[in-house]
Amino acid sequence: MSALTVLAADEFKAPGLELFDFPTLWAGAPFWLTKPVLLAILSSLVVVGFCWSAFGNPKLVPRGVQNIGEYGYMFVRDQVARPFLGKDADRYMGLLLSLFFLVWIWNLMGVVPVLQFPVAAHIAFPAVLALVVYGMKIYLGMKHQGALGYFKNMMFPPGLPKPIYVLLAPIEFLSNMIVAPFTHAVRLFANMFAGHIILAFFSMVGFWFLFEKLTPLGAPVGVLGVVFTIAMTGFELFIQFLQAFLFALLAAMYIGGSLHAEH
Amino acid sequence: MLPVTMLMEQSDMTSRSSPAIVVPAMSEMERSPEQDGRDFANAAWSIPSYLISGMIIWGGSGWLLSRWTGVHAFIPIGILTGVVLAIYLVYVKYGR
Repeated sequence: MSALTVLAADEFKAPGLELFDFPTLWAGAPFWLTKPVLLAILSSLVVVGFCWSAFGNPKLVPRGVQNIGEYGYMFVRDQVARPFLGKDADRYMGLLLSLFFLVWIWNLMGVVPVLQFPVAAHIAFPAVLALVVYGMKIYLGMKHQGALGYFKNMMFPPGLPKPIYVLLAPIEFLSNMIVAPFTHAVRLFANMFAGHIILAFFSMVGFWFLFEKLTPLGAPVGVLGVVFTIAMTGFELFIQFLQAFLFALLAAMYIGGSLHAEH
Repeated sequence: MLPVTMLMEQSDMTSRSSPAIVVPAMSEMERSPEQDGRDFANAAWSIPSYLISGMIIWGGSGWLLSRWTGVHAFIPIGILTGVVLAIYLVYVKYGR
């Protein structure tokens, strides 16, 4: 038994789920106060601070932070809000811009040195955002199409023989009411979760074979690990942006679907 | 961008007919690609969701039926029925 543990300590061990288990920040802290929670609060402060400095005291000719903020605003408005909300886009820009920036900063926490944990890699965080959007979707749908009309428009696409609805309506209901919000949260969570494991794995390979157990045969593997860590960090930066964009885009799509019944 | 032939047809139209008829046609041309894009995005994001839902609903019904009758063939039949119905639903909503 003791020989086995010595051997195990001597072998490379790929990082796993323990990456996502955090103790409380200090002994005796409330049980919920862990690193991801701290990063989530920090991200909110970053977004609030950024938007405050960008839009708090706007100038006609934008300079500095306002310039960057307006780029972000225009991106969300033209790529996310307008394609799905049309003339209602401006009314929901506050929500969509906050969602986009918040999720992006959450994700970026995964590559900030020392912090190095993408908040959304714990499903609770994206689940809360997805639930907010889900609540808005149902509320707006019932408000704009009527409580019954909303479900009727959703589950009964017009112009089909009646028996067909028995077959199709359950699919529509499950898809819109359960699968859609679920995948909304899981898509973001799974991408960040997997990305964090990939980065941890390659940096572990580099660290292990170059620093912990440097051998002539192991060294090239370690170099490969370092190279891949750098390459994958670049790739992660792209994925982090993409997932933040998609999260806001899907939110706009769900809200747009509630405002106007599909034809 | 419009194909060259369409642009030429358009300029022919403007030279022959009054601008009053051309203007609504132009505004419609400007609006429709956006609507098409929205429909395409809606369809693209809905299809996986519909397929999963179809498989769960009708595959689940097949599973219940197989539990009840003991005939295991109902499970794959249910799943396939769900997939077919989901594809039909996508066609009904976005394909027609």
